[in-house]
Amino acid sequence: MIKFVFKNKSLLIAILIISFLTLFQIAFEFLIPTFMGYIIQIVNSPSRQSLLNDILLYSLFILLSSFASIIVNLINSWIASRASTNALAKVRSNLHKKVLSLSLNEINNFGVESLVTRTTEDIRIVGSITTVLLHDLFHGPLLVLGALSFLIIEGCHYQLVLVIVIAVVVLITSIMIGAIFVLPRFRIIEQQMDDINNISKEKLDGLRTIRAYNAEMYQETKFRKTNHKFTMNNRFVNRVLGMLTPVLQLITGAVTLSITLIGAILIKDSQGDLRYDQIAVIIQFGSLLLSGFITIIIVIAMIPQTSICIKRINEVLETEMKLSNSNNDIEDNNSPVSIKFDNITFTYPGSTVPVLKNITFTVKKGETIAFIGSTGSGKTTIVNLLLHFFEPQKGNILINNQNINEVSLNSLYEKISWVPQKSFLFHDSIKNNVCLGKPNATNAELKTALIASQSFEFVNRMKGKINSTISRGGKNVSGGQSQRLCIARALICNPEILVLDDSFSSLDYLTVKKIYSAIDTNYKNITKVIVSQRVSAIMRADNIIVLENGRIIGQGKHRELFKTCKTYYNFATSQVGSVELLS
Amino acid sequence: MKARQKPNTNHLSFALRFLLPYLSPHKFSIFISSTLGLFSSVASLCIPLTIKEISKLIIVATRPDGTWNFDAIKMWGSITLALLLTAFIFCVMQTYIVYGVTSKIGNKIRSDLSQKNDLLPISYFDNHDIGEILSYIINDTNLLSSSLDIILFNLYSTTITLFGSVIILFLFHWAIGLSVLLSLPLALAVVSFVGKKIVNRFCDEQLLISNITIKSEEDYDAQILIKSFNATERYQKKFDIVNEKLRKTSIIAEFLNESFSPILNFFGNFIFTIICLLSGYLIGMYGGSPDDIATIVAAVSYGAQLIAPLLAFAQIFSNSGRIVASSKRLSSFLNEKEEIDETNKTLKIKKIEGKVTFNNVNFGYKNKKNVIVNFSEKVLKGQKIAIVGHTGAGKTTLINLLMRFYDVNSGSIEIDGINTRDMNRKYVRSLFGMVLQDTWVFEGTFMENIKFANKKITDETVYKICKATHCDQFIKQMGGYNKKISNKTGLSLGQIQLLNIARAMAQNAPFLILDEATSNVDVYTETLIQEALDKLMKGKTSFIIAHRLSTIRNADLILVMKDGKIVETGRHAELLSKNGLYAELYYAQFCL
Repeated sequence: MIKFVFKNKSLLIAILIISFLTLFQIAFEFLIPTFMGYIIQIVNSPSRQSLLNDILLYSLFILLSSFASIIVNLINSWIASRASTNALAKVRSNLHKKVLSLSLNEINNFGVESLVTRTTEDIRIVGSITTVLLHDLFHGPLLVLGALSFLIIEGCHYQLVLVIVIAVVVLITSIMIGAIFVLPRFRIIEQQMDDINNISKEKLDGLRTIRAYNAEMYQETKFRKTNHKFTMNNRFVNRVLGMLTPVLQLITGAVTLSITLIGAILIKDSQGDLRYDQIAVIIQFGSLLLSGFITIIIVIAMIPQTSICIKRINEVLETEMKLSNSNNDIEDNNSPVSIKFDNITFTYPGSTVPVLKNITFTVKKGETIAFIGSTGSGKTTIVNLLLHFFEPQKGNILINNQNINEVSLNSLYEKISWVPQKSFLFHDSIKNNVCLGKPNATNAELKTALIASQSFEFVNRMKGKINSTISRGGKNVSGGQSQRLCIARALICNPEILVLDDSFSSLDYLTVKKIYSAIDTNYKNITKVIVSQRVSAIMRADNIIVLENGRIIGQGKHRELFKTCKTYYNFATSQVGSVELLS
Repeated sequence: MKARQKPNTNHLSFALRFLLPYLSPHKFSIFISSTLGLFSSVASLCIPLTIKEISKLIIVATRPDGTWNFDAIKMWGSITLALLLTAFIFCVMQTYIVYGVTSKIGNKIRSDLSQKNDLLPISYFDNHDIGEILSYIINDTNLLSSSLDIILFNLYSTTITLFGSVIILFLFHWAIGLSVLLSLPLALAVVSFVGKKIVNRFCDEQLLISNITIKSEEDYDAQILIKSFNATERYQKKFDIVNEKLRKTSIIAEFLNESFSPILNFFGNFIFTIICLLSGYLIGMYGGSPDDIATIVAAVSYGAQLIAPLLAFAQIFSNSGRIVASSKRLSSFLNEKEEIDETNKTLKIKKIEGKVTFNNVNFGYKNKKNVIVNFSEKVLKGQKIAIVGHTGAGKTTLINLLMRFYDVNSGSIEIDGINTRDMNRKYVRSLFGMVLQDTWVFEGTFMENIKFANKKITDETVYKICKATHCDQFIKQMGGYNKKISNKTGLSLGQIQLLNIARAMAQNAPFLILDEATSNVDVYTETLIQEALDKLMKGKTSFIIAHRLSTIRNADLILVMKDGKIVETGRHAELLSKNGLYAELYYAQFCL
């Protein structure tokens, strides 16, 4: 927390200004009961000269000082809100920037949902608490200190101070006891709130399945259980927190009563030194002091939650991307080899079993290479390594004869475009979605890419054509349509290397065929890397690599593999169901 | 009708009317708690009066000719103490009861909402966002039950404190009472004005925060895409634009929020000043007896007591917009048209054979043209029906009609000669085992996920089925049948699909629906479970939607759909010889 403040100079300055202004604010606040004391004294005094004028004067003073205190207070609020909001907007922007720069591994370690919470909810909590902290940090302690010193300077009797001290101790103890009961439950409540949310979401996600199996009651029972648990906990916490009001009332009342009663005895004993008006002023100061303590307690109670949030935010900010990223660009040279995997062995971070073992292959410029194999055979991992999302533990990957660890990521991504397995569209216009990698694409380029990916027709049928907005999560286009738009997105960059990672799973065979031939005519000389489970999607490739458990078990053209590689043969026949069509 | 309702819908009374049915079962508790609150406030109101008596005794004693009457001081002291304790105990009891009531009401509203989900037709969910419904259950309910707390607490006690204080001030002197009474509406107006501003700003802020959430969610989901298409800087800029908007709104929202209590305090001090000024002035004018001087102190504490109820009222007023909006949302959701209750339909098929007949079925989704036109077909017992076509051709629509997720517009679907609409829809659904394209597992053990709501399935059956569907191996690898799973557990799409197949198998229903049931299973595993599926389908009438045409070559009837219409029907060989859409789709597999 303290570190966080010191890192932000503007916060530090705000604290200095606010602490200075708070002194004035408290001075004004103290004047109010003091003037009230004067009024009582005047009224009570036997000499009644210029009485009315004095009362009027002091009342005006009261109003003025309360006005002055609110003005100072408002200025403080403004400074505090401004400083904390500015500081946290900056943190939010930095956090977002950081996340965008991280590698896939680090993102997965945090989890997208957690990163989103850190960017939004955590920062919001820190923000609003920082405002309160800046505003009240000095107010509470200064109020307590000021009120205490006032009481002492005024020569207040120790018995009265003792009453106030006892009240403060009782207040703190009862709040502490409450906190011991309530604080651990807060986290539970939050958890149960999430549970209610999850169970409801689960139910809505599986609506059709639940209805198909007549399992409405089954799910509803689970909901009721969680709902009940949540209700019980919430009730407990509310009840304990609700006690604060009566306890405060009781303590304030008891303080007033005790001071009045003890005051009576003291007045009697003092033989005229102590006056009633002084007792009345002391009561007012006593309640000021109590309110100061309440502020302090509230501030203290906020600190643990804030520190957790700050820690979570800092975790992300302090993470460094662990991929090598040099400043050298990939040179365009005349190397005939586009991609080379040289004896690659790779294990995902956190795992002990290698997913790829001794993989070696080369792809010449303009060639098509394809990977086939069952789930978990390592096909997508090859794509992940080629795109430098991960780095292999052993072996080198060369592009245009240059090690990809020794070139900049930017230049790598200028050469390679890819279509991910799971298509993703932004909540944005179709144009912006397709032009992700090439924001300044001409309309002609856009049209060519759309036609080639077989998207032109359906895009044109949409109301806004290329400016139609894709709804969140791509809900207004079908799975096949979004896959085609993702293909367009890769094609428009006119890359040297095109990577298709199982990108046809939602497309029927006819469409795939059309896309292939359009790529061949419109984007000549592209080196293609195709990953697929369908034999039909890859049988035309120049080189097909069959993977099993991370090893290459067959390599060659379709006809050769069909004869020599048993796994490939099984794949092919099981999919097509007839041998004649293939051989 | 609508016009008559309109004037009320923007008012707090709308919220109250919505809450009334929830409140009425707790009439007794509410009555008790309000009575307790009443006693507590009356006791609190009396305290300054008793303190005043003590002060008076002190002042009298300090006058030159005064004497100390400690017996009286002791007596008033004890009365004050008794009042303090009474107020405390009653307030504690009231708090206890009120939170009991409001938590029960919150619970009831959440249950009602959740149950409503079971009663609405599927079409409702196809046209509404899940996030919206979730926020009803969480956000709106929380807001309503917390504002209910405030309402119940202050129903009597605040009014009593507010008016009691003013009346007592009137009794002290009419001028004091009147001036405080006049300044109250002013204070209330300013406070609720500022309060409303705060809430509006907070709503703006909330909207921007949710924008930021959505934006960062999208950016982080697609982080690897943004990075690998070298678009990082552009997306950072886009984010910063929203962030800057949020910053500007937040400053003001935070500022207003922080200013609320100072402004309230100022009004406290304002009333304080008026009381000091007036009472001092009055005493000055007419001479000060000890009673009058003690009155100043008492009046000051009454002035201070006014602040708390003011705050409570301000809270309600400033939140009223949100409270009304929440109750509007909830009441309109709870009033959504439900599926027609069919508990009285008890018609059942006596002996299930497995015939399905479509008679001139016409169907179109709401406000859209018919996607199924005059469809008639007879499906015989034990037949395997395949539905094929391009993506988005409307294949799932037929399934929706069969399962009665939607009802036909005209014509009928008959199972063994009985119109499905004459049977209870739950009964119709119980006839089908079904694996959907959108696979689904819930948080629970593997065992629970497979057995699901059907208690008749034994553990042994589950083991057997899991072996047949090739789930057994990965279930054991992941920690056994009693291992808890959820959709975040790290099961692959293919594995989840296998679990869904196992679940459908366990039901052992006479009809079977497989909607792209193996689309995410790799080809090799698919061939393995195909065997199990064939076993499962034996003797059962089954409907299959598939992309990979190899799996449906032996179907008894293939329906080829295009743009929502059935364009070809027949067996594999017939359709191939027709050389139409089916043949085109089929041959496309081989020659790319």
